[in-house]
Amino acid sequence: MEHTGTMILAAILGSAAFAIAFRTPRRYFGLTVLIGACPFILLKLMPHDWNIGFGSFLAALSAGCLSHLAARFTRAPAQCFLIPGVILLVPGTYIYRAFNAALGRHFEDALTIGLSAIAITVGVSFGVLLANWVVPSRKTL
Amino acid sequence: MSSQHSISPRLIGPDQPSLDDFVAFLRRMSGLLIQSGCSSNRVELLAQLLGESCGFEVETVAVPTAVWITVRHEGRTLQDLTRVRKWSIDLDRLARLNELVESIYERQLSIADANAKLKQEDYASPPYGKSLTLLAGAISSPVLIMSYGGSPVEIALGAPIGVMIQYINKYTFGSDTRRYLVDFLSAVVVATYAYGCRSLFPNIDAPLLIIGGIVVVVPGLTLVNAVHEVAQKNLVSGAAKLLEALVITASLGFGVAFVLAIIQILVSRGY
Repeated sequence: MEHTGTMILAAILGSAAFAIAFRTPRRYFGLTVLIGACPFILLKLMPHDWNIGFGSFLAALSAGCLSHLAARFTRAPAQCFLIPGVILLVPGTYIYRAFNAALGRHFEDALTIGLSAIAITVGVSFGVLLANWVVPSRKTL
Repeated sequence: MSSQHSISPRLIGPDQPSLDDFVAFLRRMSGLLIQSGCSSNRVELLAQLLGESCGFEVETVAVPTAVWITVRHEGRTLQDLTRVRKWSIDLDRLARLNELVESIYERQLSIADANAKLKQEDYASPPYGKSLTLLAGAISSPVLIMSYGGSPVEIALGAPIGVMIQYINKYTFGSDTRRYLVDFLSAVVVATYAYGCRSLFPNIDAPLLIIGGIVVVVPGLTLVNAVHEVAQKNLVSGAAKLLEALVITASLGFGVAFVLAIIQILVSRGY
């Protein structure tokens, strides 16, 4: 997806679709879509030679910080803004491809792809964790 | 959630809820939070802060399938357990529960009234209708296929997959105990559709269609939440979520493998 306009459109549509699927409150829908699209766009704009785990970490950190800021502004739980954004970063494709490779007895591929999935998962998790410290939440949820 | 860190003065005297009312409220609230996709550590912290706010000593252990609650007050101890049998992400309910707890903190709502409101949660209607939810599915899979570099034909063929996945997961038997069968069934339907499409359009990449459809139900978010829980030393909850992610991934993988095996048999017999 090299065309920037297409990428931004995909990010917004994807974020909106997941916001509906996860039943984001209607009054926060617009803000959730905007915040959800940002980490995906950031991830796609990163140089291709960057470590994929590090890129995911930065994207998740941005999603977390924006979500906590929005939560302070709206008094809603940060998760309302965070989950539709983070779902676009999680390594679903990698998990599936690794499992599929293992089923096809391509164990070397399965290991390589599986390690990438782990790197992304850890990167996203720690990005979200660090965001809790960078922009401390006013609330428990 | 209402669990603001700056707690308002404790409720004591005649305004303080009874121990039984408070435990009943906490049990229902904790169960609903876990059902709505709230992480275990946040449920535990919220219960503790709510207890402090109402003048009770609360200890809670929350895991994805249950919440144990102990509340102490003036030498009396009450213990309770709520079992959680179904869970999904429902951000609308989470926001409503958040507002409810805010109201308790701001003394606008008593625990008895909050309990009554929680009972109404079972009858709350979702914020988006069935057609809009299915439309979201029709958008999500093509977007994912587009982001993986799919051709216009593959992107267009992705829309029905998203609708099917949303329908199977939200409107069939996704809410009862056969939920792992839903994952297997989703994978079977998506793989059958993808290879069916390839018989009509030989140039398309069937695995790409499968991935674009299945990624919506691959437990990536569960895996991220599991690592998040483990990083916060919530080991039991984190391990349970890791196992859940593994079982769902296995169900999806076996669903696709099942279809591929049948196709191989059919091809080997000349069909």
